Parts: sequence; structure tokens; C-alpha cells
Amino acid sequence: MPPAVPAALALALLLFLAARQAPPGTGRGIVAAGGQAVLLGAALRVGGARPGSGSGCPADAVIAAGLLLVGAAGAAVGPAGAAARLGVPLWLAWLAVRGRLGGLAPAPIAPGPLLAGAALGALLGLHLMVSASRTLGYQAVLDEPGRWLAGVAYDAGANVPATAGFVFGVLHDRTQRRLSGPAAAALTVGALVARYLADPLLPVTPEVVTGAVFYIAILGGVGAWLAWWSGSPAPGALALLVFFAAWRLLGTP
Amino acid sequence: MTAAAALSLALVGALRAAAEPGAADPGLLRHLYFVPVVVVALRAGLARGALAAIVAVVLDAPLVLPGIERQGLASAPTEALVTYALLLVAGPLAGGLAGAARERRRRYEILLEVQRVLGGAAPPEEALEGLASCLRERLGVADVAVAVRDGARIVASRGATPAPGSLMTAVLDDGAPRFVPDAGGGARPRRVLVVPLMARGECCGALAVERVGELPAGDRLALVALGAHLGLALDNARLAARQRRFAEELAAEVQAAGRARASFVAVASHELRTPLTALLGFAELLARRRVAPDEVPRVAAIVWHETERLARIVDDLLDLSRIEQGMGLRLRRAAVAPGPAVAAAVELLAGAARAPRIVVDCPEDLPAVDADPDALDRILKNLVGNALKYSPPASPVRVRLRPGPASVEFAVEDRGRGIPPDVLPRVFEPYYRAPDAAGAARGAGLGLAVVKALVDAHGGAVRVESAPGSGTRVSFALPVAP
Repeated sequence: MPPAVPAALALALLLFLAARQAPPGTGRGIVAAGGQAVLLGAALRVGGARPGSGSGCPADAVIAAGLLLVGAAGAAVGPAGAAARLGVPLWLAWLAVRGRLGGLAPAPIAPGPLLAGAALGALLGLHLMVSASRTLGYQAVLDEPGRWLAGVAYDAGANVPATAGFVFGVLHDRTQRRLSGPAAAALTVGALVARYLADPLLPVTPEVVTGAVFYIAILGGVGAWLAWWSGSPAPGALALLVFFAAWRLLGTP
Repeated sequence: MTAAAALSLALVGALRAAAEPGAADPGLLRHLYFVPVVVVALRAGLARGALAAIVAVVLDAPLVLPGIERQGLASAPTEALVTYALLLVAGPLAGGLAGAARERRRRYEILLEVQRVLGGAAPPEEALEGLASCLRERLGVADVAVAVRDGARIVASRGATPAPGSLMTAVLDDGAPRFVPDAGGGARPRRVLVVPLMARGECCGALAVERVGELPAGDRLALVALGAHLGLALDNARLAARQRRFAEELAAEVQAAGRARASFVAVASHELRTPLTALLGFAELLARRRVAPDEVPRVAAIVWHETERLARIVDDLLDLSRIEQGMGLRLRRAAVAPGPAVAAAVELLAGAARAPRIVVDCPEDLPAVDADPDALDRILKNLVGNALKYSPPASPVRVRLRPGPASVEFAVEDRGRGIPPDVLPRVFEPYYRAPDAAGAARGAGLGLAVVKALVDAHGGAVRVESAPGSGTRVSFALPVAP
């Protein structure tokens, strides 16, 4: 495994933890975006190439990280500015069409794993909503669609591409080529749980942290299995995206 | 299977959710999860059994967590947690045991199939291709290659000899298994394992297996064991083939020996009958009729000659019989002067008519040889007699004697028909006669066999060189007398 992979993970976790200490507001968001930019850049730089064929184009990684930071800055301006977050998915789509995503997007991805990812994400999201409402009294509401859409844009434009690209596309891909499947999956789950436990947006209450560990661990296992099945991080990313979309529907108790 | 399991789990979940509010003891329904979980585990193995158990727990948790939130760990939620723990143990355990039993059965089936493939009498390349194809299908892998040593060469499936420096070659060299977690070139890892095929403690080949995806440690260990079984099976197949070949050769030899003996009996009867007839005829002549006095020496010479011939045949037969029974020839060795011995043998054989044909080339100062005089006489008479029989009437027969470092070489050369190259290796076999020799001269196929036995008994060696149409040279060496 290239040393850049654990180094990028450690740096991103440090930035997330630093963001936790930063005062709420634009500063915290920018520092957290820095962590995501590190993950996304590393994903494109290391995973953008086929295994054994060098590495991805550095300019592509730098542009993606820059777009992610621009999106974060745009979102800080207001809910409408969150549209700037679409820069990253559009850039990734363009790279995929040009065949420059290498091992991150081996074409073609079969529809089966994508459907399975979406279905598992939806099931877990539904489960979260039922459990949270019955146990802690959280209600699923859509009283502020703009805010929900901004959250989904954050997931689609920063959170999920950076995390899934790095964890499923690079970390799991490289470890499964050196270790056994279960060992690689365990590392993947561990890295994903660590990444979200360090996330500055996660409320630090026992029940939320317990729930986060539970669902993120399952999503990590599901993503690793889907990446093993399809050879692509996309189905796992889809599962995360759908799950987070459901999670963002939860109101306050 | 997956859909049925998911449906069963969902059904139990729905029953639980529906019964929860008013049920007297809803916990009883919770135990229904064991049914789909254990069924899935038994049918689909450890991973899916564990997954089914996790899904059951995840499905049921929203019904139990509120109780824990409200009452803490009271008896009902604690019972539920115990049920979850049991589910999480039962699923993987049942799946693991069932999977292990299935895996063991599959391995036995593979071994049976391997025995069946290798049991046929196919040539090595074809058998290896059949083996690779069988393993590819049975092991559920992307590719299989087998290479085995066949003497100095290496035979491989698909006729592809392992390249120097390849994993196969390395395993063939040191007999240690090798595992490559990813051979590269794909979106999913391509695991490659090369295991040695062991037979009688030695690496007799290598089996390479490539699988896209996972090749767990248990499977790798099983493949190493399979390599050992395959090595033994290949070795057994090789031994069986060798035994079959040996049995076929033996049967052919027995048949040939039977034919030779039958032919010998016919020829020997004829050979014995001829001098006997002459003896009988002349004995009757002498006994019943009046023979002119000047005819008596001639008749006596004929009787002597035929009696000697008869005695020679009987001596040859007796010697050959002793050799075949494993009893050595009894020699009375003494220092024998080679020149006079040759002269005596030639004189007796040649007679007046054939004397000019025999040319003796013998240096004056040859040392005496350590030999049985009678045996040397028989050797020379056999060789010179053969040369006279199988060469044209006017052609010379040359007897040469040459000194060696510690021996004297005797050689008898003729310019006769020669011996075909394919027959040459068999001329010293008892009762054997070249196919074209039978019509050329009389004989029982004993002479050269006796010559070889006598020369061997002296510690010497006999050689024959011949080319069809240009003659034959038979030579032997005897040690110089001490």
C-alpha cells in the first residue's frame, strides 16, 4: 500500500478533530472541508490509476480538492450557495467519461451492485428512522426542504465522494490485494467508523455515537462487500448517499 | 434462497411488530427468527448464516431498544439481548459446521474425480489437460494449470512448459507452496496459489490455481493437501501405466520365447536327426553288407565326422541348459598358446575342400592365454563354422589374433551376407536365428549363445560388427596367462 494512503487518512482525521475545536461557523466548515479535500485528493491521486500502473494525474486531484473547497465556501454563503457543491460530482463525472478515474470507476459497473447499494442504504435509513423515532423520539419530517437539499448536496458533493472514494476505492482496494477479504473489510469498517466519529458535524452524545458506530459499521461492511463484488466504490457510495439522505430527514426529539 | 431468507426474516419481523403492542409475551415470537437464521446457515454456510443473524437482530432491535431506553436493563429487554446473542452465535456456528461438512464432501468428490481422470490410460499431456479441466470445474476457479516431471522433461497442461523464473518453476525447484494475493490486471484481486505435487517425499509437479476474488486460508490449506493427494495419484497412475507396459512387454517376450522354443525343438530335432541318420545308415552298411576294404576309411571318416557333430550339438545344449538354470560353466583353465589352438580348430573344420578359404593371421610372439582349451576350441569352431556357413563358397574367412595390453584379441571375419542392424542386438540370444538365416544354412540358434557364455565365463567380452552385404566380424578377448 502506498504510504500516502495512511498518511492522508491520518491528516484528514487530524483536520476533522481540529475542526471540532474550531468555533462553529465558516471556519469549522472550511477546516472540515480541508479534511475531505485531503481524502478526495488522495483517492484520485492513488486510486485514479490502475493497480501497478503508477498513479493518477495530480492535476485532476488538485482540481477536485479545489472544487470541494470552493463548494464549501459557496455553501457558507447561504443555502443557494450549496449548489456550488455540485462542482465535485460534475468534475468526477467528466473524469469518468474521459476514462481518467482509473481503478475508481472500472467501466462498466453492473446495475446489480448499484441497485443493491441503493436498496441497502434505503433499508438502513428506514431502520434508523424507525429505531430513532421509537427509541429516542426523533421524528422524520421534511419541514425545511431547502435545508435538506443543502445537506444532500453536501453529501453528494463532498462527504460521500471523498469518503467512499478514499475508503472503498483506495483503502479497501489496496488492502484486499495484500490481505484476505475479511481482514480488508475489517480495516475498511474501522477506517469508516473512525472517519465519522471524528467528523465535526456528529453530535457527541452517547446514543448518537452508539447509533453512528452501529450504522456506519454496517455501511462499511456493506460498502466493502459491494466494492469486492463490483470492483468499484460507486455502489458503496450510493448506499452511503441514500442512508445520509434518510438520516437528514430526522428532526429533533 | 436469498429472497426466501429475506422474506422469512421480514415475515417474522412483521409478526413481531404486529404482536408487540398487546401480546402477553411477545418475546416468544422473537424466537421465530431462529428458523430462517438456522435454515439459511445450514443451506448457505458461515458468512450468510452470520449475515442472517445480523439482519434478524437489526430487524428486531427497534422493538427492544425503546424498552431499554424506558426501563433500563429490566428482565424483558435482557431476555431479548440474550436471544440476540444466541442468534449471533447460532447463525455463524450452524453455518460454519454445515459449510465445513459440505467442504469435506466436496473435497472427497474432487479426489474421486481426480482418481477417475487419472485412472484412464491416456498419455501424460492428455491426462493433465483432463485433470486441469476437472479441477477448474470442481474448484470453481478462474484457471488451473498442472505441470509434472516426466523424467528429465516437464509436461504441462495445455502443452505450456513453465517459463524459467516463473512461480511454477520455483515450486518445482524447491517444493514450497507460493501464494500471490494479487496477480494484478483486474478491478478485483486475482489470487494465485501454486502448490507442490508431492509423491514419496519429493516434488513431482506443481498445481497452480487462480481465482478472482477471495481464496481464504482454509481453501489454501485444502489445496496444499490436494496437491499431496494429486502427487500420489499421479505417481500411482504413472506406476500403473509402467506396470501395464511392463506386463505387455513381458507377455510379448513370453510369446516370443514360446515361439523360439517351438522353433528350436523343430530345428534341434532336425539337427540331431541328420547326423543320426548318417550314423545309422553307415553303421547298417558296415554291419550288414560287405564293404570294400578301401572304402572303410572313408566310411569311418564320415561316421567320425557325424559323431563329432552330434557331440557338439549335445554339448551346446547341455551348456545352455546349465546357463539357463543359473549354474556357471565349469572351466579347466590353463595357459594355452593361441596360435596352435587356432590352427587345430581350423584344421578340423576346414577339411580339404575349404582349407584354401581360411586365412590365419597370427603373430609369432603372442603370449599364452588363460583359458580352458576345450572351451577355446569350441568358441573358435563355432565362429569359424558360422563364417564358413554364412559366406559365399569362394570368399575368404580370416582369423586374426592381436596382442592387447593384458589380453589377446581373437577376430573372425567373413565377407558374407552380413547381419541386419535390427537383428544385431539379438544374435547372442539362445535359440534365436535371424529371419533370413534359416534359409541360408542349417543351425539351431545355439552357437553364438554358447560362444558368449564361454567368453563371459573366461571374464572376456565378445563383440559383433556387421554391415549387410559387406560381411561380419566377431571378436573376443581372453586374458593373458599369468
